[in-house]
Amino acid sequence: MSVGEPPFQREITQLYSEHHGWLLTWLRRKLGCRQNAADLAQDTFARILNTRESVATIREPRAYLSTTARRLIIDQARRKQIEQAYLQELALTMDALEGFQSPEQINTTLEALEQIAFILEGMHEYSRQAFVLYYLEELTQQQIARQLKLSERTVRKYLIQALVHCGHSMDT
Amino acid sequence: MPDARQQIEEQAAEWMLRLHEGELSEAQRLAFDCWKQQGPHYAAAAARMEAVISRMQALRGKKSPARAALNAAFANQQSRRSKSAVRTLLLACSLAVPAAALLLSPYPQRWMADVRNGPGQWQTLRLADGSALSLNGISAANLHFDATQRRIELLQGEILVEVAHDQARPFIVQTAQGSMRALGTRFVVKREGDSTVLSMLESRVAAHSADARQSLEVAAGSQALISTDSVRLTGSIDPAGINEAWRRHQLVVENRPLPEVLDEIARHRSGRLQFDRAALQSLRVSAVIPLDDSDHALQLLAQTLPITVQTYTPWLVIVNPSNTANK
Repeated sequence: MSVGEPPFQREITQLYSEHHGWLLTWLRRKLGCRQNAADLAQDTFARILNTRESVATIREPRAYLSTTARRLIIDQARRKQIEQAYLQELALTMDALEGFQSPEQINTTLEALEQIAFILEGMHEYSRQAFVLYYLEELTQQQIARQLKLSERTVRKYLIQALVHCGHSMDT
Repeated sequence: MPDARQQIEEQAAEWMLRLHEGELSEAQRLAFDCWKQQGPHYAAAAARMEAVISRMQALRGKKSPARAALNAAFANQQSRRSKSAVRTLLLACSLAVPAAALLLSPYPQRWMADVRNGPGQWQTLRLADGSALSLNGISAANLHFDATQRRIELLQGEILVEVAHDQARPFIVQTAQGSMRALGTRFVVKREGDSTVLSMLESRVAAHSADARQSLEVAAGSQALISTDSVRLTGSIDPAGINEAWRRHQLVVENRPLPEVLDEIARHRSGRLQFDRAALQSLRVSAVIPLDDSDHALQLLAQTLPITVQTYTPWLVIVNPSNTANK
């Protein structure tokens, strides 16, 4: 039985066999979960299959794969949620903020927020909350402990976990 | 190597926190510099964390909208994930062989479940009441635990449960075909097409068909088949053998039709395993098959049975009877 494999399929198969393992390892470190990593790696290749663009000419396949995976994690629906929540709250707190936000500034901030959302993805819920409260909201560990109803030691532990996770996320 | 790396990252995180918690003394600052100079991984790990922290800090001018945006990004994760899954699958519709393989994979159902497990995986969860729940291959279950009930809804695949004793809250495993009720025991439940197979390893449970018309007490060493309107004993099993198979990630089969064995192997593969059920039905298998290496498992079958196994992409493997392969 012979299979007339179109070139695109051959390219994909090659991309898959050369980099699937790497993508899986990267996603596993990033998401801290084998299951989600495996699903996402499949999704990433499915997405590339769907674009039907030639993949043979890609010069940095790993960067291409990680970008595709990133877009799947923070997808369009999620980008919209981030944008809506940001703009809504911005309108409410405009007076308290220094000066007027230009559309460019807003766009830059939204982009930064998307990147942060990607970095935080896969983080333990408490780690994420503690991390945001500590580095964005500038609460002390004691205040965070009270708010999350955890001991201070536990909060510190979650912050350590959060930082380790951030390190993984930045590591492409 | 991965452990050493993890250790470096944890140390880096510790330093990051200390830096933030207050001014470092001269000695501490020196110690941090020394730490960073131990190798390129050290300084790099610290730099990566610093980069994220400064991104967060850059948003402090717009604290509350930034917070709102991040909250929105992580609100309702479960439904978001499954929605994107459905969309991926819809997109895949237009595609040829490898995409079809993805489309037919049993992922979507699993995405919604409380507990899920993937191909090539075995996991054991310790539940709040001290019971243990193990899953193998593509499996999914919902957990309903509260003050009055301990109930596991098996959606797909196979689980082994070891029930912690609790007189007040019976432990129930439920499937579309029926339910099994226990106080403290150990057993395996598996979804197989339109029926549920119960294998008792220890003690006994009461099994009920979904229409509540039939019930049966099943004791250790017995196997029962549950369908929506009946419960019947199908034979005896070897509890020690089943325990061992779970431990060693194996499938032990005796005189079973090949399609059933292939179904089981398919539950442990990411891609699609395609075969003509009717054409292979007459082939019987007795073997111990490694489930954690399904390629090897297929090879073993091909060596002992008149079949050919053809691999087209990592996502598609086709099994045919040898004599009709050229048809």
